[in-house]
Amino acid sequence: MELFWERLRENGSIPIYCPKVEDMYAKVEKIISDMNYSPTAFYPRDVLPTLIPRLLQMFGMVWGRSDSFDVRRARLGLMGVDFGVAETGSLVLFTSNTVERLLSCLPEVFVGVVYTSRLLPDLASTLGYVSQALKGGRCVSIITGPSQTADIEQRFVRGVHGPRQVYVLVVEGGPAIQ
Amino acid sequence: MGQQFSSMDRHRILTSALDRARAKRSVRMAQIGRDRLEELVDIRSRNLERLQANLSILRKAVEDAGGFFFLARTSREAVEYLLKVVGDGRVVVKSKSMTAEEIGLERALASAGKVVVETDLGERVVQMAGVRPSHILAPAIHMTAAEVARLLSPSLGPEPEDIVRYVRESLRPYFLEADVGVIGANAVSAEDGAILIVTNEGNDRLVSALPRTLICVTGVEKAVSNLYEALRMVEVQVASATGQRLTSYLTILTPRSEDLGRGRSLHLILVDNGRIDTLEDPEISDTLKCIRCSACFNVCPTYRVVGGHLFGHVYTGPIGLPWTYITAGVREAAGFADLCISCGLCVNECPVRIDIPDIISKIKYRAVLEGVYKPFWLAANIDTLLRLGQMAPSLANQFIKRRPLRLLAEKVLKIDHRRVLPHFPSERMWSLVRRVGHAANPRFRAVLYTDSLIQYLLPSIAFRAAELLVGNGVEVAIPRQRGSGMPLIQNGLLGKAAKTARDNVKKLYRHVLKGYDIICLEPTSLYCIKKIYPGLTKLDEASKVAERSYGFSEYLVERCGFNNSKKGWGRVFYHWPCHARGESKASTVLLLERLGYEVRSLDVGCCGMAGLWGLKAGPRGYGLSAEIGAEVSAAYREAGAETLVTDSTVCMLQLRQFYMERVFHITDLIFNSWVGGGDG
Ligand code: SF4
Ligand code: SF4
Repeated sequence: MELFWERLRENGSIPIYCPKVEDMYAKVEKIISDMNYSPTAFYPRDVLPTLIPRLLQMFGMVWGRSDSFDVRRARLGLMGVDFGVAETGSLVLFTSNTVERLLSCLPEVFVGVVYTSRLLPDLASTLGYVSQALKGGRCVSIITGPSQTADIEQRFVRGVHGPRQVYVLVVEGGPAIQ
Repeated sequence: MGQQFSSMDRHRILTSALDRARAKRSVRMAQIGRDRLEELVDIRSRNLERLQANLSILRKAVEDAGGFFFLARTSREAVEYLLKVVGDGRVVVKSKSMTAEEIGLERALASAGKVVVETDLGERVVQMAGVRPSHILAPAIHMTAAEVARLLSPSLGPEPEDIVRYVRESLRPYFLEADVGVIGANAVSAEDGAILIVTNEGNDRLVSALPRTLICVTGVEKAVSNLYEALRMVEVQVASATGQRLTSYLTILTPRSEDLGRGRSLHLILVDNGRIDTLEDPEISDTLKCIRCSACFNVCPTYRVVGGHLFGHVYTGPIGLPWTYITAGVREAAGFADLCISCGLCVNECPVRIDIPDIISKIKYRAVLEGVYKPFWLAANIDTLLRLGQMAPSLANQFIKRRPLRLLAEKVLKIDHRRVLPHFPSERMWSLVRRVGHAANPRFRAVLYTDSLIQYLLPSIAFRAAELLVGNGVEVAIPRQRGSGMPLIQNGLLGKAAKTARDNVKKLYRHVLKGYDIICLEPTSLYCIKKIYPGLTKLDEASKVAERSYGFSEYLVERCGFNNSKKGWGRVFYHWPCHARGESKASTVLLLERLGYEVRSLDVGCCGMAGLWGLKAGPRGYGLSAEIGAEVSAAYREAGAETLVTDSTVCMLQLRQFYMERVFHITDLIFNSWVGGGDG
């Protein structure tokens, strides 16, 4: 957990700790209000069953499975991810359709939510899950920090084609890994 | 108007970018550790051996998952297939892929009337500028922000932030309306039919998620057996390329991922284009182990100065030369082969330990045989010329001293007239060394191998070296010998070089049998004996000779336990010759410290002489050589040392060109400051 935290910071993600699920709502609300309530897209994933209804209640927006055109308009994408990888400070995302994936690609800000029970030590230990996911027709995205480039005069700039900011809400507990 | 950059500035931008990349990577590579690299070398070798099997497993996995697999024998086949797949599609977005460059994808699509949009930022910039990328990872490394901004839009300012935002916004619509997406692959897992792609920008994710048709174009060598191996490959690639733990994005997908197969389709084009034949060509085949991390670019002395536009074809940099040979042919490779000066620095950086200069010398050899590469005449005849000069030293010295004769030498021998050359000495080495004394109770016996330059032009160095060795308990023999043959190797004259090498090995081996060690005065000779002769001569004796061979400083420090009782001689700048850099530490630095000097040195940087290469008249010889040397000069000036010292007479020639009287050979320095004994 400490390592995950340190590595997230190192790669430019912004980790936020949530001791209880309820803390997460407040944090999300803060992020959304900081962005002046810009269009926000959530993705209903079973990783975080309680999150979506609550957010729906708060903000009244959610976009469904195949509607990629709304994702296009979103400035913020929020979703639960499948795993966290401590050694690299990465989020592992298994997606079963492109809209789901685009939520972490198109918006300027991405908020990924991961339970502490879903933290893995390193990349190699994701292998079994990744291979399972591929067999099940998922696309695997491993996200390590914001989108970035140093192509112009070697100067570091964030947010090229993907999010400029990546928040990682680390929520204590959660379902155990099967 | 933004400022224009001169070629010198460009050179500085490039070198500082490369240095930064190198510094970042070395931290991460140390964490990766030796075991992981050993494992990777093993993964690469094993998978090349089973490439054909991998390809059939991959084909099956891709097709079973509902995707399309195509093995393209040539660029042309790849392009034809690609055009068929694109069909009526109008807009094609792509994320940087070297293999796509190799097959000429963009040109082919454009002439079929398609709109091709590159989405990697740097690559997009060079696409708009209509030039070739100058570096595989940082294609626009040669341009300033102001130039980039001007190119993209007249109203755009030179702030990288603004440029990036502009590119993000202007490319979005293309992503959304594209019919076809083209991606490359960093590795492919045969078992899973899975493609692995890494980027920092995230363009690959949009390219692979939005268009209806997705095409992945990559070289056959990227196929490995399983996901584990593919991950290992990608991990080291990222570490060695950028020093990151992982790039911002690693995407892994198969033809069945997401809605691929449900109204969307994935085509995997694996390009052979000479690779599969190369597997059967043991002199070149190691190239295919390359994981395209570009670490070798960072240190290449000539690449650092000229960049990828001169040093390369489609593929640039050190390993770009063998890649060019494999994918485009010997003529294209020969076009920039002279820029490899066989310094050997790139080998030390390569995570899969490809002996790039060895492969390049084989390519030069083939190019010479095919008549598409002209070796430097002097290289083939230098020993003869030196022997002639020694026979009539005063006449030869006229040629070196007198301007009209120098101009004649420039015309005939192509030796640049600006080059300061040493004069032929009046006394020959053989008669000089006869005056060397004998060790009272010798602890070691060693042959002193001097190489040609010392033998013919600077014999006093041999004399001093022998005296010093004797003084440290070594019985020294200096048998008749030939030059090491490095100029021949550098010029692709491997047939002749092999003869020379065999001759040297046989002579030296006779002494090894009698219990002698071999001490090489020139780092280049040691490099030849240790790294080149065993492969070149194919003699068993060669490795035995190699085992017993040492550098001069190494021998004094490690074997003789050299020390000095008087310390505090002040500060010197040590120029570390390229051919001595394979060692993990510089013995000469140790030696200088034991002698009592405070040592400064530079851990990259070639003096630019590169044997005879720096003698060559014209901009691609003497001119470039001086430019390369500028880096070492700058470091020397900054070090605030009076004295410049080195252990290669070749480097000495170059350094004397600029700092005549302050340049010393290591033997001079020891001779002047060694009092003896020491305290430990
Ligand atoms: S041997 Fe030296 S000159 Fe040749 S490619 Fe390698 S680094 Fe460049
Ligand atoms: S040759 Fe080695 S160092 Fe150069 S790009 Fe290939 S793997 Fe990297």
